Amino acid sequence: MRKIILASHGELAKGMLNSLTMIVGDLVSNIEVFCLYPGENPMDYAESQRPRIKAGDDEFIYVCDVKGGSVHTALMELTVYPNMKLFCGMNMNLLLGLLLSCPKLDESSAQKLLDDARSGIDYMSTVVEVEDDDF
Amino acid sequence: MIKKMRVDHRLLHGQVAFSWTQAIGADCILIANDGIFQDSIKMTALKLAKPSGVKVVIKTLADSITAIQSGVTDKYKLFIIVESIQDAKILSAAIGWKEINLGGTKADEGKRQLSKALFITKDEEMMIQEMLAAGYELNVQMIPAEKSVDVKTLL
Repeated sequence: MRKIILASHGELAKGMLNSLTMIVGDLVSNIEVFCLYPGENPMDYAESQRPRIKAGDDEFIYVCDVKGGSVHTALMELTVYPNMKLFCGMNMNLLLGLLLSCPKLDESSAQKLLDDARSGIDYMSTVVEVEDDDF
Repeated sequence: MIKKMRVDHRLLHGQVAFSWTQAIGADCILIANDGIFQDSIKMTALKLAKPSGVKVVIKTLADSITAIQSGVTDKYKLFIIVESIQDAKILSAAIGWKEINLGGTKADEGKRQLSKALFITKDEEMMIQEMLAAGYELNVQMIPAEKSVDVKTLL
């Protein structure tokens, strides 16, 4: 089975789960969250995860907030296990893609998720023109 | 091929763009709406809500009917979104489609609330009754993960 875990500094992960629920409802039922609070050591969290990942029965997909942050780097060590996959730079597009359109996570589907998530980040300072689609 | 027709006063938004499009396997979303052509910012916003790999076509009700009748939409797995029950009634009658997902209509004074997101006027209630009498299937469902409820049980 696939397990998705959102991990963040503070409560971004919790809030992200709340926002996802609004869009996909019960699909979030087996998502877990980890929020790192001041004074806690992310290495302790990573170590606490090791046994169940090592057991090898499930696929674990961790989605962290910031690349190179302590949560991300602590979890990076667990990618030695082939059933452990790690994303960083969590955003709604990435998670919606993961939940809705990625039945199998491999190198190419991961790349597509990242491309879509990146294209969801944009900047506007004036009214933009968007191309029309037609049949 | 039409996969679904939905009434949603917000037209295309997160729940629709992501959840519904995926759940029904649509590759083309047709937004059939007249008012949107008077509001270029709203129009742009709709186009931006486009999920990756899916076409979003915006047409007036009349042009939507013409397009569907012409057969040009046949090759798509089409997801049609309209703003109101009235628009749904007009469009569905013109193209002979009898299954409508009632997603959401705006809350307003004097409207009757049928579900969390569905509010109807007296006129709309009449339209629903007429459609039911004509053999329509009208289901209330906001997101795919939620249970679909036959509108009959809510009236």
